[in-house]
Amino acid sequence: MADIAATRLRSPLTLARGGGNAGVYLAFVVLLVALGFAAPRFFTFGNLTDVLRQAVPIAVIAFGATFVIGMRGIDLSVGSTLALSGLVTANLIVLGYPVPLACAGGIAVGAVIGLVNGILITKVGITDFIATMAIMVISRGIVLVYTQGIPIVGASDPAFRMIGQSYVGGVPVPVILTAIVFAIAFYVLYYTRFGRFVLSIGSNPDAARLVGIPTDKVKIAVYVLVGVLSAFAGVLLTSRLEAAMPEAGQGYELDVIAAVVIGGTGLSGGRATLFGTAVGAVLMAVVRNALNLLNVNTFWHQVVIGTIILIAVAADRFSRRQKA
Amino acid sequence: MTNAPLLEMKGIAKRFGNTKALDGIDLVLNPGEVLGLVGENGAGKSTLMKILSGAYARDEGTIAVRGKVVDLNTPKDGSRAGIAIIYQELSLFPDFDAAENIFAGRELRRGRLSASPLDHSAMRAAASRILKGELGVDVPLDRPVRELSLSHRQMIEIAKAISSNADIIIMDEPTEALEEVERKQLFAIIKKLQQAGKALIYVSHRIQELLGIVSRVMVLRDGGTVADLPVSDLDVDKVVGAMIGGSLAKQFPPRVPARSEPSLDVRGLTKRGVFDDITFSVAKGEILGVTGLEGSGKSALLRAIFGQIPHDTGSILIDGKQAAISDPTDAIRQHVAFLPAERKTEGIFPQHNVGWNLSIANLRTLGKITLMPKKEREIASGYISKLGVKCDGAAADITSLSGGNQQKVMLARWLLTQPKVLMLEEPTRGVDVRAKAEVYTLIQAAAKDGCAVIVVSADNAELLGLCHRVAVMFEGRISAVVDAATSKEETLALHSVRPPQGHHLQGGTHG
Ligand SMILES: Nc1ncnc2c1ncn2[C@@H]1O[C@H](COP(=O)(O)OP(=O)(O)OP(=O)(O)O)[C@@H](O)[C@H]1O
Ligand SMILES: [Mg+2]
Repeated sequence: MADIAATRLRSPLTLARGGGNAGVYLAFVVLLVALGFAAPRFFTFGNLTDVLRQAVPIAVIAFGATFVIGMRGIDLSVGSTLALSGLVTANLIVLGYPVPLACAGGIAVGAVIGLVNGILITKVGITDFIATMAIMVISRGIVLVYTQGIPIVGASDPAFRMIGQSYVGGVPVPVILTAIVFAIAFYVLYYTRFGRFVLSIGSNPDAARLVGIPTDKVKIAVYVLVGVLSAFAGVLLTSRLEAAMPEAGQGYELDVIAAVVIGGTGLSGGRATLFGTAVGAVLMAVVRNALNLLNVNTFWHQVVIGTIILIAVAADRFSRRQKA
Repeated sequence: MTNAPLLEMKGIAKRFGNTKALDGIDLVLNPGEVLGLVGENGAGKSTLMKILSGAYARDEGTIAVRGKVVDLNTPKDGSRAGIAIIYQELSLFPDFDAAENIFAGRELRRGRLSASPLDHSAMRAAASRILKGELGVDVPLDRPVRELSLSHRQMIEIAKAISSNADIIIMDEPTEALEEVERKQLFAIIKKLQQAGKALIYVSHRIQELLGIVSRVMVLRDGGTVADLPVSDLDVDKVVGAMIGGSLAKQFPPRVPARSEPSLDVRGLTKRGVFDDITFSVAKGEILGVTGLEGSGKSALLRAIFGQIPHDTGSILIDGKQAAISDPTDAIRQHVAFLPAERKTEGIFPQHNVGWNLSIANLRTLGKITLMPKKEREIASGYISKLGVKCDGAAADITSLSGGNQQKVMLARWLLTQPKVLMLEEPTRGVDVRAKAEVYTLIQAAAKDGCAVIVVSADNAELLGLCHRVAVMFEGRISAVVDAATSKEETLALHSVRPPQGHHLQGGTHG
């Protein structure tokens, strides 16, 4: 692993990968070691897989958000998209539709929301922050109107349950699916024209247009991608709970941005590190898990996560300044 | 102590990673002196000037102003020590207007307190006095500078530096984007500042021009000083010889005759209020120059052909076929390439490396679906050696390259697309004498391969030396087309300010 990382670092594509946030990787390792001493139960296989499973929804969405943020954009609607897609999927399952169709229905909802976001931003010209915030509120509103605030339960088709609850070789299926999403996203971002287009737009939007990048199309595609991944997270969550919760995914937009930023992708665009995002998402799940194992009041979790964001970003700034 | 020079830099050294940018430079400057600083791309001129202005920290050496050692660690320290700089890459705030930019950081206020309200009308009046009165340019004062032309932005930078009351004024390639008239204005100002006892450092690749205004010339090569002589001992050949450590062959390669088939055909192209009924054609292998004053529509014309800005009426034909170009993506698909003049805002992707910046307009060369890093390195290395780009390989950050070397990468980007129509705006902006000759050879090689080339340049000598024909634009129309081989620079300058009688001969222009 270290060897592969080292050879990659020398390839001309390294900069595109953003290098990641070395300080965070180090802090992560230190944290794991400290946890081993403070809470020996942390390193049990059962607990570790649990941590990874908890990281899944944030991680899946954050892989998409890495594209958006690398493109100098922002998407606040991911949590509501997750809820609405989960709701549609749960409903279709309850109504007895076949599992693939139900899942496809949920994911289509995510794609449509992404498409709307993208069109509002590129064709109507509303800034990304405002457009996706409005869509966030509207989608959540639709969920609440439809459910009247009551969870949709009984999505317990055995085949559907498999997606979120089964294991392969002791590893939860959602974790495996997340790893697959990561691999695809990694390939697309660093080894295809599309990925370069995304990071070029984030780096210099005017120049991007002048080298022939169809900037509007690329932007829309990226918002669709995030919509689809948010919906995918919604399907996984619904399958695990066998229900759709009206408040599902609330506040995820901030957790997702936190994972991306902790990983070392800056909001100024142009550079993005997917590996860092994965570390960021897992780090947040580890911290939450650790605080639970150490019996820290859940209200403190927010304070701790916020502090980690600050430290991560400050460390990143500092190391960049040293290099310059 | 009274005899101490105004500025004395001693043993200045600076490294960037593996590159030794400066190696023990000494520089002395007295009041009333204009020092010309020359050297090839990457010789260390900008680095030295940035150290003097406080933008870069030096590794070694001392700087004394009026005999007193100063520590210049931030640009603020520089301006406090009485040093003003015009950076090579323009550094205005794009959303501020001219007055706000000129007074950025030292705003005029209605009271003496630093919390007093800003005095906008006073700033605007002062800005207008400097720009119109002293520099003689008509820069719109109420528009954000992002909407202004490159040459206007450059004039605002100049206004900002000369209005700061600094004793030492540094100008890093100030004339690259300026028109003939504007350059003359600038030189008059430099004379005035010199007579007022200020000291100037003037960096440029236009040696001839430089020799006319400076009193002394310092030549840098690979981070060291190779000559520091009064201007009376020098001529262009001597300076160039010191710069490159040898002599230079011909600047312009011999012209290759164009073929007869037309490649690009522009018919009646009109954008109301900008350019009007433009008709011309460029044959395969032909190099057409376009000149004209600021606002004559030459830049807009190129951008319209490239699809960056829409046009109202008229048509564009490539190889005899109607070309539907509504944005740059279409244009590139039709093998039209366009190098914009301003590399910082319209060219480079600053977070990325040389290979990325070079290949971005034609990623298909790196692989059909999967981009191959190895391919990228090969292609980039090829152009790096072909154009003599001084850098740490394809993986070097684009921002770590000197200005002229960045320009070579931008040019390579478009050559890589193998265009049928190649439009270049100020292709040699900031490129040194030797590399200029290489750039001309490359442009001509592209033409020889059947490419139709259009060159816009503020440098009339360049247009006449490189092109077959030169079209002069005046107030949105082509007012004359001259044969480059038989015309003189003065003719072009004259046509630019006053169209010849009966100028609608060309292309049947009738409003
Ligand atoms: N920020 C930086 N990081 C790394 N290397 C740099 C940086 N700035 C300059 N260099 C290197 O230092 C050397 C001198 O560069 P400098 O910009 O001073 O050249 P210059 O003489 O101004 O050239 P030009 O005529 O092209 O403007 C070059 O080799 C350049 O690559
Ligand atoms: Mg320079």
